[in-house]
Amino acid sequence: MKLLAIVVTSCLLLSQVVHANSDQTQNNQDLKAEASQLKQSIIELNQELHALEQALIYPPEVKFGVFLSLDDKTRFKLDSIELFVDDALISTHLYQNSDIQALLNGGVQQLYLGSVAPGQHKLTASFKGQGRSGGYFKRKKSLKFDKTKNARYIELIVSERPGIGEPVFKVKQW
Amino acid sequence: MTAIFKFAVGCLLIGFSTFGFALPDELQKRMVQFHFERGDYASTLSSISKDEYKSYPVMTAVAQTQLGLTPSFTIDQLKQHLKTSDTPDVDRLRIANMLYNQDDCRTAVRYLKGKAPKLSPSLKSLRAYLRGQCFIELGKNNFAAQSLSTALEGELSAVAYYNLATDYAFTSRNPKRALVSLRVARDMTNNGESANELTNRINLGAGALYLKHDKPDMAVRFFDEMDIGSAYATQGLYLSGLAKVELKDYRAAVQVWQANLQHNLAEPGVAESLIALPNVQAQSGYQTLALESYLTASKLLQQERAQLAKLKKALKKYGAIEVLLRESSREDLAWFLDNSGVGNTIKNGYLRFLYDDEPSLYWMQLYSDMRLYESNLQGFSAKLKALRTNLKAQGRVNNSAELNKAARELTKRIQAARDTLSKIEQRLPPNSTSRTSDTLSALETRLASLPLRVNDRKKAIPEQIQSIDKALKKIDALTVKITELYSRIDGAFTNDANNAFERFDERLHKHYEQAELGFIQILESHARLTTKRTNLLDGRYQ
Repeated sequence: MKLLAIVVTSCLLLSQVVHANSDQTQNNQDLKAEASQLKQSIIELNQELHALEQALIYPPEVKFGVFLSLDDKTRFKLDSIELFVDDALISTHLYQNSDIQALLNGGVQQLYLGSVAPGQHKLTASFKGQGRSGGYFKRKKSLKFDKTKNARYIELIVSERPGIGEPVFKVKQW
Repeated sequence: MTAIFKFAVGCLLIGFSTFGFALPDELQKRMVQFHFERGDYASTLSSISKDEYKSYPVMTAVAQTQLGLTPSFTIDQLKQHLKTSDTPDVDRLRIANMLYNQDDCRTAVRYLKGKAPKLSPSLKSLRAYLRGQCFIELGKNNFAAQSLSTALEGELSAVAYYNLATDYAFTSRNPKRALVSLRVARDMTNNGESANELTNRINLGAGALYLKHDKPDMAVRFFDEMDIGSAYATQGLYLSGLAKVELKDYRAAVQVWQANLQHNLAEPGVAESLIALPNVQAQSGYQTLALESYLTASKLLQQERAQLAKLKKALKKYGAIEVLLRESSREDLAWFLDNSGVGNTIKNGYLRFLYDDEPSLYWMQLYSDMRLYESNLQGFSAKLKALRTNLKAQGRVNNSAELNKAARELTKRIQAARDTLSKIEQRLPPNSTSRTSDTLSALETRLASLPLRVNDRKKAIPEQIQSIDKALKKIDALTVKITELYSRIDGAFTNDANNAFERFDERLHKHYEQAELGFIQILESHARLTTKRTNLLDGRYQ
């Protein structure tokens, strides 16, 4: 009789432990699902906020963007870049391997998005990096552009001079 | 006056149309691709509006999967998209990657069939890696090795070879294949912090494998190449000591284990070194040293258990996030942040211990993700609030008399510039001032349209303030939800961390018992050697 009581009590305790564990697992699953839902809402709000920011802070009359891409055949490894508008520094970037890989895979990096007044301006880009032969290069490119009523986008394309392997900037205005 | 002047100039510059700010399609697509290729999936999704998802179905679905969200497209829909894709090879690879992350290797392999000559070298490496991993998962190591032979170089290929070696080590009795794979992996690693850590991991794996297959001399070579600052160093030191014992070099074993005791007992291999040390001292005949070491071990293990009990109490009181993840300034947690010896706080040691506990790691990552999202939202909130203040200030500029005054001042300035121009143009070559004159005319035209623009601007301001208020409300609502989630994450994390520390405590208790037992054994053997015993057979003293 005593033995039976012990067995029953043990079974009850064990079932309580199992029940508590399954409750905990269920709670954790619910929490994970809720976190995922919240992440989704945050990302959606982020999209809205980006669009609002674009519309409010950078209307097309003053909107000006500079982008950078790599020619897919280039072996030049970018180290850093500095951007100036009318000789004032507006953006810098230090490159990591993941950035370079993303550029080599066809991505375009937004270096700067801001505003400039309509009229004539000078954009200067200066970059440093390592060429295919291992030598270090520093190059500078300046261009004048006219900011009109429409948004102005400039893409800087880093490529190599055929044969020599020296890096050069090409410019594409959108 | 200054405000109204700025406002008038602002109105000259800005027309506030609400369309035409979108990026050109190609630029937008490649910008999304840049975020995606960098593995920044949150930015990938943030830079595409929900309506645009169907323009980037593969990138959207992969990014959603990587962030643990439900993908907006089914596999069949993505498969359909491949028929019209400009870059089918790249998209196939991305789908395979997504399936691999969802543990569906059988389907993933189907998307990795054939050749993909148009891929860039890094994507080719990723492809070889995925094929290799999937074949390993499917138990086809030979296919995996074949796939990896097409891998080029770099960290990803090194990881793939490391994983292949681990699989060979588990499934094959002959260690040769595993060791060859490990050597290939080691040769493939580059420079850089993560590559160094991978090399350390490979060296640890290779050393452990040689040790397991009774080649301690080879094992020591790999352990010796590990960095002392590596996360795997403590485990490496412990195994290195074992290899040295196998080589009968007890002194060297004692040295490496003693070096290991500089680290926190929670780190892998340290508590084991603490127990192994007196054991090998006893084996090599240094009984007194062994006794002392056992005593030290018992004392340290007891101290650690007491510390762990204190930590568990703190976890119960404040929760794991407050104790382990936040920069706490609570006085009763000061002991936990104290520097213990080599620049490591006690907290760092326990955190490293929890990184190896999968459930705790999940909560830590989730908490860190949420913190990042929260700070991003707060950044937006600050920007929008500043903009709202600015817009309200602009809205208050409604005094047309002041505005007219500002316009008159601008007209005067333009006129003055025109006068100066006409004075100097006689002395300059013909047509050299035409451009300046054109600019002045353009300014006059713009100035003439100023009242109209000001009116348009004034009308637009309330609407813009309204959109900002709406966005701020949404940010506040989500911030409240994030805060609520923190408390639930804290509950789950505290529970799992407690369980992990409980298991650690059991391990420490076991080691404590071993230390006590070792101590007693030495004393007993010493007693046996020094006590005269009765020979029960003949009844005489020996």
